[in-house]
Amino acid sequence: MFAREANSSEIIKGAMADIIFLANDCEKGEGPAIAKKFGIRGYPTYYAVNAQGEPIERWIGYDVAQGWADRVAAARRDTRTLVEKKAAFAAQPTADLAESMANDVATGYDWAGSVALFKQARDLAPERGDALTRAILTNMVSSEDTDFTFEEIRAEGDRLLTAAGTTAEDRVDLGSMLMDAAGARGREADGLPYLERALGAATGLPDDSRVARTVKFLQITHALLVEKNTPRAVDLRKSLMPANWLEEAKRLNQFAAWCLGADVNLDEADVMVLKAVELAKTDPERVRYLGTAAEVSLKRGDAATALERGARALALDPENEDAKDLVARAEAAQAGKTN
Amino acid sequence: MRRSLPAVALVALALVASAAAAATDPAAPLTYDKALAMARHEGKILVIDFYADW
Repeated sequence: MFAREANSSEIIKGAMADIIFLANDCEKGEGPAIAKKFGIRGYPTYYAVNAQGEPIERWIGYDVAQGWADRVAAARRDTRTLVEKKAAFAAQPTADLAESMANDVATGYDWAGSVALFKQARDLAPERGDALTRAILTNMVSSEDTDFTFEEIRAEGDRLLTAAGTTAEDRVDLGSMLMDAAGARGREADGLPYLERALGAATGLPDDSRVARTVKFLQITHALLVEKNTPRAVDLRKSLMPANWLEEAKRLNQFAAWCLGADVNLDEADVMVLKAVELAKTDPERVRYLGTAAEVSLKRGDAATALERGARALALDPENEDAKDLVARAEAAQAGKTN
Repeated sequence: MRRSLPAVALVALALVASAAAAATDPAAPLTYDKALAMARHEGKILVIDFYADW
């Protein structure tokens, strides 16, 4: 999403004018070595560094253009290193430092720690409450389902939905986040009112709205959960794929992964992910697609095929933790069947 | 071994030159070292987007 908006968003273009920007593909060229040097754990992760290469800000995920530009502005405003900021925060907490620390710990997937720090920032700067509440909500939704209850997440979402500055596009985003949070906690029914309100807010938005894709995904969820119309959901999902996607390995895998997550259309997903395996150009790609293929097999109740696919992935990358986990689960599923 | 001042200056010049080349040739792939040299030369911070083309 960042790459798409970097070419169209005046906010991002403005922020770019004041910095040197490096797009580091973590799977190509020098990219993996640079990612390893910085200990990158997830994508996208952003680092702002000084001329000595020392981190001065870091954050994970891309939400909206203004949020990204705000992090860049924070890095330019206070060019102390993160180590120095941490010491300053311990001595004299400020809202800006709390926000820096919150983003810092989020890059280590410490969502609970991150949310606590964002809340501290909000207490210190209530005038920035809406932006910080959005960060709190985003981090809560990113967390494991055991970190925060749906009630805690809903409270932050409701706070934003009633805020004066919340736009129709924000309402679509918020509905999507709350529906996702509800689904991740097995509380789909509690998310549906937010889904309906988000789709209501989307009425009248232009086709090129920044949330156009989010609206489509909400329509897909609506087709699955409310209309109970799986073929329509699948057709809507296909309509979101780019031209020639049937010839692109990563797109085929993406579609199969969606089918897997929604637990629909698994026969077609199986065909498509196997085509992705065939089309893969590198072993890391092949391992990833074999992983999806094995998951599809498991979901279809075919443990033997899942094991064969998992073993192929593991043979290509013996240290791959996901492949090891897949093989273990496939073996357990097979043992369960034979016992 | 101590590095003489001229040698340091040459290294610095080379970095600035490569940064300038990268800045003037939009087709040239920007590397981490070049980006850092550009940041140093222009007095800006460097922002790195760690992504994967999935």
